[in-house]
Amino acid sequence: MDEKELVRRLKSGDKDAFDALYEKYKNILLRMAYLVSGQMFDAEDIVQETFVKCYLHIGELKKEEGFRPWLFQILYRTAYRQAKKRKREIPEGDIAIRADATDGVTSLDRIIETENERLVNQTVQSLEFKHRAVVVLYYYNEMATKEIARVLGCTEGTVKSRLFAARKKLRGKLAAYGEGGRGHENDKNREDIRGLYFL
Amino acid sequence: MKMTKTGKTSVDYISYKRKKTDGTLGNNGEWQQAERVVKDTLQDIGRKIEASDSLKQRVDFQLENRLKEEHKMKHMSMKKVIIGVAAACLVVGTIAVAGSGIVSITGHSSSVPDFTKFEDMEKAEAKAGYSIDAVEKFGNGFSFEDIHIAEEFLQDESGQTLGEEKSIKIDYSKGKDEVTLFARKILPGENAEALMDINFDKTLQVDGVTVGYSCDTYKAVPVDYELTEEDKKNMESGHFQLAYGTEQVEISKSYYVGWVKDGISYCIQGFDLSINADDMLGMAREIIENGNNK
Repeated sequence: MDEKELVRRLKSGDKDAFDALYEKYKNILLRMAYLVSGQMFDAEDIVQETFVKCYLHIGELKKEEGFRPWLFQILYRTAYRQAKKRKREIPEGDIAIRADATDGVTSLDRIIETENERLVNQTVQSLEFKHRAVVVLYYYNEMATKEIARVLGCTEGTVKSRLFAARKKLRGKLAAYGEGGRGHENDKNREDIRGLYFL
Repeated sequence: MKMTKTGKTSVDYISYKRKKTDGTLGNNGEWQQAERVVKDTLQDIGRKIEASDSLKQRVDFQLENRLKEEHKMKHMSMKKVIIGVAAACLVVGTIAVAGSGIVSITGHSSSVPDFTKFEDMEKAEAKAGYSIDAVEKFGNGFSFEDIHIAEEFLQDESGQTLGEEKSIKIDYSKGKDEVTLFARKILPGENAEALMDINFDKTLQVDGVTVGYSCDTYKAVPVDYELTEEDKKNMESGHFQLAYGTEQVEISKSYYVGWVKDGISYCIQGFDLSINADDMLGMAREIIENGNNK
């Protein structure tokens, strides 16, 4: 069954259609949520909330063919709220406890294995949310700026401007690593990065 | 060693950069190559992430709760929203049941009463499957209004229903004051002592039964309400509860007495009442003594 038909069925309350869409999108959304939040337990919370909102608000989606960007939009809005909340209220100790408590392939050690992965992840996570979102959609999802604008609910010009700013920051930060880890507080990290000359 | 989409290994690329003397991204060619690595690396990270089975269970559990909640909210006034939360003191929440791990109890009842005459008490008890202590009229003037039978679902952490229970709610009124008597059978293995492990303001002994009284502040707020510093401070006191779901912020005082007798957990609860702690404890005493004299 194609996606449009599944969405049509979901609109009439068909739970099987929801389950099929969940299967199709679960990994896509979890990966995007992880890359944009940088934490697996946050990513799972974001995906959970995204699917719940999807089910509850599917009636608001006018055209079935717009399901994918609409779903991504929910994910990014949820991730944005989560990022704001995270800044405010989660004590460091709880983060450690929750990180240990997650299951499946969720440990950071098992996801971030190589130095490239560590450095790219670290650099992307150091960007502001709005820049990080554009970077993930552009580089990870390989979406065009027009599509990104639909997902983020802004103009294509805004996306281009954010992408320009994000690239500039990425370039600066990655170059800084190449120069010897400028901007890193931790001495051990700095030594590791200096040794790598990533870029 | 991991291969990127470009066919270049991570180490290859790092080695390439090691040859550079200044480590900067001096020209567009280098930056384009760096962009490719960013893209490939993000995709490499993504490929290692798979949704666990428990995530689907979490989604379904949350969805079920939200659908129930939405259904209830559509039919609830602000007062009923907070009364629903108040009922949580006794009948809804998270409890430990021996052999089953941590479970939660969620419940709902119809806004339409099941019975409207006190004479139907036996029918209500038959529907619930157990008998309770109750009176038709209290000495302080509160008198019987109606009876609701509520369904409670016992669920494990994954959201799977382990069993169902029925509780009995009896509404009483006196002028503008309204109180509800909540009663439910304690579940097999449930720790009855934990039900009375509340920071009571006052207690009373009635024929060997301990009755506890507390007065709490309930703040009903919109779903997107953000906690103030004062809210956080009040929450630490243990006598402050938040209820989400109203259009505007509204504050009420909840008056509560609770006790456990013969395997049944009881509480009487009301909002913004014109009676005091002794009146509430006296109502509990009447129910207990009436039950003992049956």
